[in-house]
Amino acid sequence: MPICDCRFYHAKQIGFLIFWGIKGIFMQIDYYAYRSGMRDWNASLKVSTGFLTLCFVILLDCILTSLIVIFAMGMFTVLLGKIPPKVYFRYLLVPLSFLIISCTAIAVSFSGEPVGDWNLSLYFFYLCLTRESLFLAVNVFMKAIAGMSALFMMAFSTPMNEIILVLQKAHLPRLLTELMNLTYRYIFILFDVAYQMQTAAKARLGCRSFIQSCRSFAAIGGSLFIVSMKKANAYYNALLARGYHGKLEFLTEKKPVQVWQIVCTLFYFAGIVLTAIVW
Amino acid sequence: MTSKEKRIWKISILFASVFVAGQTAGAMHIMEGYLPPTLCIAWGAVCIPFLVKGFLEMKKIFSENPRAITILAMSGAYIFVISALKIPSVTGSCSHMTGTGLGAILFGPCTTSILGITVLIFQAILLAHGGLTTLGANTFSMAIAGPFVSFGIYQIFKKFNLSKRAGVFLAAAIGDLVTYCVTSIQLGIAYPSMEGGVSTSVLEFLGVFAPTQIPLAIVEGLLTVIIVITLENYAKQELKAVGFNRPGNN
Repeated sequence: MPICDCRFYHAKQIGFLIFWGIKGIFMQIDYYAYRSGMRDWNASLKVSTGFLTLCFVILLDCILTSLIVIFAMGMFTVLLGKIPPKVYFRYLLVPLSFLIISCTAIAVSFSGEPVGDWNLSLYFFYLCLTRESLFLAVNVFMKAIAGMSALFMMAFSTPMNEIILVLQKAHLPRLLTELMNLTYRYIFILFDVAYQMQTAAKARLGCRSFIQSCRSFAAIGGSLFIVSMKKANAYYNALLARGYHGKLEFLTEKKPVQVWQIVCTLFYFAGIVLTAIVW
Repeated sequence: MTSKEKRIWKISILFASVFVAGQTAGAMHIMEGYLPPTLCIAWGAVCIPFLVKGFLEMKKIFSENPRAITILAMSGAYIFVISALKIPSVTGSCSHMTGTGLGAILFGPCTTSILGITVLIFQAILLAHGGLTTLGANTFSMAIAGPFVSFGIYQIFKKFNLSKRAGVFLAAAIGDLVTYCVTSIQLGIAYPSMEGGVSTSVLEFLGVFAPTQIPLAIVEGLLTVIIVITLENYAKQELKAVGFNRPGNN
């Protein structure tokens, strides 16, 4: 598949260059989804398993369930999906900063007088920490990580177009799935353009000072809009030339559900429910 | 260094990097699994009327002009890409625009709500930002509350013939701040403080996110102004295509 290979290449390259540092790994989820070992599984099975897991995690609301989900989903993604563990863990850490800040806010509270199990005097007020609030914060933390790992199981094994197809089967309006399909395709095209523009700006010392980099960013933003609208027109003409009548039809591979996959999934859900009941 | 000292050193680096990385949080997406189920459903339900309105409007646009499908899809991709690009920042950390203020000014708030929810789904699945269970809450704060306020401010400035640049700046900056406030309120309602209840915890969340969000809102406002100026100079044709400045835009 030469066209797809070309896109992988771009996705990888652009991901590395636009989002430096922690974000250096972005857009790679798509790249790994196409190469996943679970690619041949039925997409509806994967999406519904991921979604049901999410529901279980937030409904059962218990640390043990979250731990089991983190473990099981990690195993699915790393062992069956063959995603490099390093990549997987780096992704799990993406929302870490948001998580740490907001869990601190849950655990710690301000008060005029020293209350709670631990408190720290800050002259005007006290920072208080109670056993319950700490427990709540840890619980929320684990739930969030479990949720992320369930989402990753889905995202790292199912390319976006298959997810959209599942949504279409779930009777999302045709108009929306059409729009999502096109948007998904255009994102990569625009990234390519944005990457070229950024290189051009950097080559002309566009980032030498704060003011200058603001100007370059805005210029890139503006030109990107112009380019995107020009391309939109051209793509509509291309669609019309290929007989577009308001419906995009894609040929899809049939991926029947295997018995062992169902057994695997059922076993996993039974495990979650049982531990929740016993706990 | 002894091994204990080394460990302390490493932990301090980790601690520092987490707080510097806190700056990368950029737009405030509530992450997967963070909200209790009742609130997930409630925020989702709040979004539905806006989304239905947006959907119907979009349907009308398509029936009038079938060419709009690629234009709207490109607009969605544009919002996604602009919100993923690193914006220049004073502190050297990396942060991102929400892009929804710009979207509301260019495409109108109802269309932006539909484009916004698509972008949020892509951000959750392709970039690990946000999540599916928190999609309702995130949609409300980023694709509905922010854009509607931005659009309102922009319209007020236009109606009273006030400075257009100031209008765009305030629309984008205040839209961003509204997103941040609404997210804090959502978090506060989900996890009320043991002492003072919901209001205290909302204040707490506002406080912990303020250092990253307020400078970001100002930078986003400035960038949006320059982008809009660029567009008005060079892209009159394209702006007409998306209905910018059309009388009766929404």
